[in-house]
Amino acid sequence: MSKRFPLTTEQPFLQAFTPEPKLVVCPRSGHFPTATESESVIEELKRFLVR
Amino acid sequence: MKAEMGIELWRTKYHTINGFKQFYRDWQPRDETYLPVLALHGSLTHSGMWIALAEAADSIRMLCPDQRGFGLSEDPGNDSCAEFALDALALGRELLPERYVVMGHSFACSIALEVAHMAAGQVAAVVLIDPVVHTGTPSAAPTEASAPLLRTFATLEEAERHFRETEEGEWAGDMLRCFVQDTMMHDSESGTWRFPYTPARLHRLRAFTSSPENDYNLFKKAEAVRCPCSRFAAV
Repeated sequence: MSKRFPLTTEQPFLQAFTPEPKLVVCPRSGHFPTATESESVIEELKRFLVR
Repeated sequence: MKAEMGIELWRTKYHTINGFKQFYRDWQPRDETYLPVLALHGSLTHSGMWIALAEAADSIRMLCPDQRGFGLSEDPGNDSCAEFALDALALGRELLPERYVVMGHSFACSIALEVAHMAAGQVAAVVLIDPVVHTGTPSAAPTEASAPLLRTFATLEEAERHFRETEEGEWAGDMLRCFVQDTMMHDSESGTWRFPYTPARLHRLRAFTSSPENDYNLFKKAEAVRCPCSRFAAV
């Protein structure tokens, strides 16, 4: 899990939104998924931006 | 910045906003097929953190400011989330079309949500990249776990080693080298590499974000926005 975001905080955080956000898990990323998993970030970003 | 052909698609400039000079880089692809993105870096980096992503994504316009006190921007001295958001809004108003997306990394996720709240008519969606949640009492130390040693590195390799030892994640191939080159500041005279902020600047920000006066509460901001949101999470 991220050192900056406690696992127990995830669900309450998502539920604070209306509508609930799409959660994209980056299993290898660390704090900088834009650098370590850029391909999957871009793929999801493009999918999201056409909404 | 990797691709030679990419350089011409980056527009870099300063503008004066809210009383200080702010640097920004603006990736303007030839074939722009998505809503433009206003990309706000986290507290350990500057606008350079978006270079590789913008170039790889190619068709997404990304407007990336160095936020107050980071990178090449001046430091006007106030660290509230609202002030950061007003900076971003002013830049977006000046350079982006009427509708755009705001993306924040780390502490800037609160800023992105604040921007979306302040400008609900302009912000079509929000993207949050690994937000930071402060735990404990308001006076507790900040929880950003891998605060960098605030120093200069003699070589790029030394800077890479620092990030490899302090940051989670799998840095395959030349990812880490690209990241360090894009996010650290290089002094061409001495050949050294340094973080894109002064120690005093980072300490002041962290003191504010862990103080009772801080206005970075992610949950409150999440409750206030109504636009679609995507949240990228590390595990």
